[in-house]
Amino acid sequence: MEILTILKANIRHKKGSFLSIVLLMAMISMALVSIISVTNNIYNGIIDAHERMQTGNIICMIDKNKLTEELLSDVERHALVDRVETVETIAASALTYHGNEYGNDIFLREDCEGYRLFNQKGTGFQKEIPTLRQGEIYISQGIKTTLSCGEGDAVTITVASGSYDFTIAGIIEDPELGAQTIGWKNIFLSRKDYEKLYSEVDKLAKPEENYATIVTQLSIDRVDGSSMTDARFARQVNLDTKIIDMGIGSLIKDLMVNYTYLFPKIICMILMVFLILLFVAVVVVMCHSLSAGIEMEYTTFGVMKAQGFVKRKIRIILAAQYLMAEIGGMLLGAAAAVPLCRGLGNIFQPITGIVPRRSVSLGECTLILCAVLGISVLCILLITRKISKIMPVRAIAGGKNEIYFDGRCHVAIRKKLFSVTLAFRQFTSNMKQYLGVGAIVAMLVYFMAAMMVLVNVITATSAWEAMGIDYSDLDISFEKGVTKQELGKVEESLGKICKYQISYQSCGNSYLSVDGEQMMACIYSDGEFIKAVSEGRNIRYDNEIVMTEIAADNLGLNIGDKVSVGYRDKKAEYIICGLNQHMNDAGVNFSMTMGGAVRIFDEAKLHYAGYILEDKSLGEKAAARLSEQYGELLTVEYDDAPMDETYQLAINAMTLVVYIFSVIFSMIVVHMVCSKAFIRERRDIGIYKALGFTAGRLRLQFAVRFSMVAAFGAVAGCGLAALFAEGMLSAILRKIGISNFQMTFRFSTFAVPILLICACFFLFSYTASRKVKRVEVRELVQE
Amino acid sequence: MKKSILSARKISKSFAHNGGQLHILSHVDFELYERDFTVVMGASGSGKSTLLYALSGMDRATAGQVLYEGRNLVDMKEKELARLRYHDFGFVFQQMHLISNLSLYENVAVSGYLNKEKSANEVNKRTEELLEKMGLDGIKSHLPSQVSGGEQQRCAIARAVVNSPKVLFADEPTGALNRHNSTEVLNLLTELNQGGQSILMVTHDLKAALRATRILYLEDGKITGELNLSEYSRQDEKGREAQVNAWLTSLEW
Repeated sequence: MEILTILKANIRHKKGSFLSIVLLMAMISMALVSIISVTNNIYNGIIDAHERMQTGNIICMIDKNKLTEELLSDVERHALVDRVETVETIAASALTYHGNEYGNDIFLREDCEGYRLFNQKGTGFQKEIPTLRQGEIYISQGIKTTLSCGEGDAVTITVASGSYDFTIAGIIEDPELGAQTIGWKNIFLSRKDYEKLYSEVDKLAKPEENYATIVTQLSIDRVDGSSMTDARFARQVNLDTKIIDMGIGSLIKDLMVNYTYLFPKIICMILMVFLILLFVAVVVVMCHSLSAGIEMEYTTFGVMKAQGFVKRKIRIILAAQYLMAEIGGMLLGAAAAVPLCRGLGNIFQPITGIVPRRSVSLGECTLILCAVLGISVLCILLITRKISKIMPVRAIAGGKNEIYFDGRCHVAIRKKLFSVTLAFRQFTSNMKQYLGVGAIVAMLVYFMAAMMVLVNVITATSAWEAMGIDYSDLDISFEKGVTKQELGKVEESLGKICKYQISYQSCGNSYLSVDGEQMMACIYSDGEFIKAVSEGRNIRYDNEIVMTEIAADNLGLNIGDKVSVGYRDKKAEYIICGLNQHMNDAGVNFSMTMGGAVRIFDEAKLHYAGYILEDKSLGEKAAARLSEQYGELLTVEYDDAPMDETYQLAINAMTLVVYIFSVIFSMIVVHMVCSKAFIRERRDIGIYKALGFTAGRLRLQFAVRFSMVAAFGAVAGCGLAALFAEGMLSAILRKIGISNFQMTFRFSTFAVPILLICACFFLFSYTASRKVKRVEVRELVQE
Repeated sequence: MKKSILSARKISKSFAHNGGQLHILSHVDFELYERDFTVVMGASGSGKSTLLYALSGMDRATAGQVLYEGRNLVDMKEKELARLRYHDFGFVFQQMHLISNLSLYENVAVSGYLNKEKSANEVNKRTEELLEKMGLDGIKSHLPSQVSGGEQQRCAIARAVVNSPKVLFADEPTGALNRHNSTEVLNLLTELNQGGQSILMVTHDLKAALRATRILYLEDGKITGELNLSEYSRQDEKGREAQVNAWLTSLEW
């Protein structure tokens, strides 16, 4: 009963601190529950969609003419294979909308049975899929997002027999290839269109030239009960049947899920790391508040001890007080997260092409929140140890040592900059009190700066090159391929229109087997176009390849190792001469030159070239002129947007979340620390007033002091960001193939977080110190 | 004829207490004369300190006027009162109330820095002079917690006079000191007064009251007695003590 009475009194008396903890925990738990639930909802949504579609463990694309009955039968009869389904598709090389081209491999299919059609908002599905009429198509979300097209828009699809116009009738949920992060795409045609195109392109196929017009999609399922991973299953089936070697490419289910889930996962992971830091900050604030509270109420605790309260009881009271606030905040946050979980998942729908679940991950969140509580309890118990040192007699006699000024920095107070120098003295003479706040600011600014780095990278194309991303303004693709001499002529024409720099000349990407493992090969005209070689050297000879660090790690390979690279029935040996960074296939790929490619392809032609124009304003003109001059030989696309809008939006939104959280967080922290400082310094405030300081001047000093704390913390945070942000972002972004993140510092990278946090601290501490007005000099009087 | 520099007209001060009003001062009239050392005496709870705080502008009277240079302190805005505190008035507290994170030197100088009419050099010079005069120059970089109560109070007096105030207020300046330190502090105040400083001091210490040139007796929030004395001299202390004692006895002290 006595505990309850004191608890009630304490909560009533310290509403501010109590409420601050409630708010901080509410913020953290709301974000925690939202992020965990959204992550799970997206992942489960993807898995649900795959299960509904009964996606095979391997999807293998193979030229219809290469898929012999014997080969198919070998696969079907393989001991590990449970089921094989085949779908014949028409290979399309491009889909064009408003001059923008989707240039990855597209497969035109007729049957869309089992698929679901998104509603207008993309948040759910239509009850039935209307049968397509002639001239209509269904596309997947990935194309819609990439080309910003939608229902009712007219597009042109290019197949072997020519280009055909279609109208988009709807967006299909395609768990296999629908995500924006997966290059291959399925497009669904009406039966009549499909049959017409099929008959036209089928006869144009040239199997001997590896020119496929009809591609069979094989969906291969593993036998039930097998514990084999999809990768090992694919490797074994390929080793035994050569089905993947004979194909155009393959994709395993694990990778489909991984690629679809990739972007939301990374965003959520970054936010999760930020949240963990916020939680650490909450614990620091709480410990600081608790510790300062014990010091300030030293006498009260002494009196309580004198009345018969044992230290255990006092510690229980303190722990209960903070835990009640935490639990209250958690419940509040969790409740607020419920509507967020329902809505937030849809943010990623344009990228994943999947409608996520809408549930709250109750079990997982409860466990994590319990762990959070556990950590808090531990910290509270640690801090409240000092209760045992309180001696009733000393406490009641006011025998506590000076709690304020445990250190002094000999910076003189000057008449010039009086407020600033005095504020600096107040800060340095009680540095310990501000250490926690400084640490919190450092954490916030570290993350804010890291986000700025990420935002900078979106627009800093110079950093892209260092990270192995092919960036260009003007992209030319040659459907049938050209030789270096033919490309030279095109470049000569381009040079007459504007000055340019060659970004890449590529034969395209092909899936090849590397020691039996399927891997994307990026084939460039010369070694000079292979970027971001971080170890070893670039390719000099035809029997050399450069592999990404991630791929080499996956296969346990290193520089100097020999690998057997195979395509269909041809094989050749190559030496890994360097490790690089390349984002294709989430960083799992290797690069080779045209000279190296002919060792297994017989012939290699250039299919793509990209240019960075000196004068961007000439881009449109150059594209039009080249199209006019070379007609059928090439398609040109001019686009100077450095990154896809959806990704930019997502990264900007994430940055905004981090900034908003930081601002709210700093507001609460400043309020808490200011309130405590105010109580501690009440007597000093009275003295200053008696000396002639106005409330305004004192508040200004308060604000300047807290801005100084913020500035010191912010500089430390920037230092940490300069040292560790690269490593942190590399570790997180490794999942999308960036193993060596290149930091791009701008003035704004550090200036924006520092200025923002200092301004917030100034403003919030000025506001929080309004109680200074209420302090009367009379309080110093002892009648 | 003495010149009045601070006067009070029928000032009252009351506080809300248990749903009613507690009257501490009732219609007090008061004059402080230039170069005077006025002491207000009275029993505990008689309203001495309240009167001092009302007169010094540290607190506002509930009714009446406190006039300084023709202006009513009661009506002054915060900024005007602040200027008065650092420019015209100096204040010495019973508990010293030095800023604990500033050295003795800084405690004194900070008040001087507030005064816009003085340059930093002037303030620094004045601070050095005062600390030397108070016998604190050897410990000027010490923190208040590192020096004795007497030294703290001498520092507080130096702080109070750094801007050469027209009036120095002192609230029981020896109340927290031992005998030796009390004498030191009183000697300083006497010296200041004899140098021309007007002082208004509140005390219930007879020894301290002996330094006054005028003693007022406060009882239940009203001035009930006044005694004028000659300038203090140590040789005359015994006779002075007897005179004051007799006067206080007549007032049933």
